[in-house]
Amino acid sequence: MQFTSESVETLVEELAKLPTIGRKTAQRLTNHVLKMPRAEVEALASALVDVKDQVMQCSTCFVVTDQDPCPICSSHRRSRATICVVEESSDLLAIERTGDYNGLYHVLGGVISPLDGVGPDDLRIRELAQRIDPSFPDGPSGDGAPDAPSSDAAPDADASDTDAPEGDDAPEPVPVEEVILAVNPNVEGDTTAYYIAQLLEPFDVALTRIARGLPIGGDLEYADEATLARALEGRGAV
Amino acid sequence: MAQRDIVRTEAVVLRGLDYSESSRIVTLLTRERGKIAVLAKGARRTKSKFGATLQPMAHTQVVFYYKPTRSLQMLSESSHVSTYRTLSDDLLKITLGLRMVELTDALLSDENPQPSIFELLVAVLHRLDAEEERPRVLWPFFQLRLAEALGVAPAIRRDRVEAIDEVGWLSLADGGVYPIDARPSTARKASRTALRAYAVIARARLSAVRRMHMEPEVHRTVQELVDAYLRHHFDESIPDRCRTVLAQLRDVAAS
Ligand SMILES: [Zn+2]
Repeated sequence: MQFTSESVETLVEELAKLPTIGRKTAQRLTNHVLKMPRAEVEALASALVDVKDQVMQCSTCFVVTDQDPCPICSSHRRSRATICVVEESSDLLAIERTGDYNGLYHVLGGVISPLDGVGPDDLRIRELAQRIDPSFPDGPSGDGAPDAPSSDAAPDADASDTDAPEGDDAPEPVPVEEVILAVNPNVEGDTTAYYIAQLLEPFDVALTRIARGLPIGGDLEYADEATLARALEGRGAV
Repeated sequence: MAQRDIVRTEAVVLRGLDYSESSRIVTLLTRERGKIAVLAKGARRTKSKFGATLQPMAHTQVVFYYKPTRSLQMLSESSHVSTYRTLSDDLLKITLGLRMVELTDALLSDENPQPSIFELLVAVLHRLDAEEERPRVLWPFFQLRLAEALGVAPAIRRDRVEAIDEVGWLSLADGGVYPIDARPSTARKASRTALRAYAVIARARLSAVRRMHMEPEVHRTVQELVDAYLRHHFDESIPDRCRTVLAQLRDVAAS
């Protein structure tokens, strides 16, 4: 169905370009906007524009943020020896909501997906390696193995530093000791995890992956074999 | 009244695509209905009943409601027929397996059952899963067998293979190998070793091809010959998304 008003039609078309929104949903949203008070519509419109104007990516961890470096990267309270690797900024927020993680992050901006034509060069994987060893080469891969990690990549930091109050001064860099891969438990996540594992192998850093298996509240009896096998593999002490 | 069948069949997952907040559209190669796209409602939820069964390469038993008037069928159940032990733990194996499902997806038309291709894909994926030493050779093997199943089997003649001296030709038109003095019209020149290896792969059984040992240089040439042969016959359909990504992955996977 085409709308008689051109501006209504334009809005429907623009909304329908958004992921997971089909034409019907776009029409419903448009009808809703038509009924909204003008002030609310203005607030929505300026929120959309602001998100483009004011939001940037942290130059260290690539999270979507209002300041660079982001509050997490510039915090003195976070443990700087651990980096949790996530696919998207929304995954970072999900982990932050648990309140159980106190390290830094690295947002890849997606996952390796050969079937969709997304390769390591399309993601922030090289930047991750450079956080672990600043001498890791720039430019597209293919020019051979990464240089051996230098033993003095970063100066040792005083342990008490992490408890220091926040100030204007940037936190001291600390050698990365652990990289946690928090990618999704699917083929793309597996591909990405094994790629990063092989890339980081030359470096002296522990590499872990978040557990895969049964969801809490799930039922063993109804779990599929592949999920159950993963859960057994990743079992822990009680 | 619209007809609605309940279809229960074995399947291999070729690819998946997120659709809406909770659902996925999954392309399956089924034994009984050929390639078909199904909507898996709730598949993106953590506690989805589909679990890991809709991941690419998964070998499953599915149940879906089939309506001829719909282009997308509704998936009702999916369970593993067999699971892989090492396929998802190894970058090289994952990438080879993904190329196989990608090529299958690209070359097969919808709803055209070809049980022999289904059997081939299942057998090669399981071989890939079990293979410890030489998984790479399974890729050109799969390409040539798929070509054969689609009606363009390489025409290998033993006497011609024997007649090749130092170098010879691969005919892109019939997939056969020829001695140097019998050049076919569209042909690739290659060493005798590479052409013989190509001829073996084109005819060998799965159980035999895995015992083949090729020097890396020979393997590279054989792979180029097979790629050229497939491109010659399926040109437009040959996907290159995987190829570009795999080129990026190769350096690390080879180490
Ligand atoms: Zn940051």
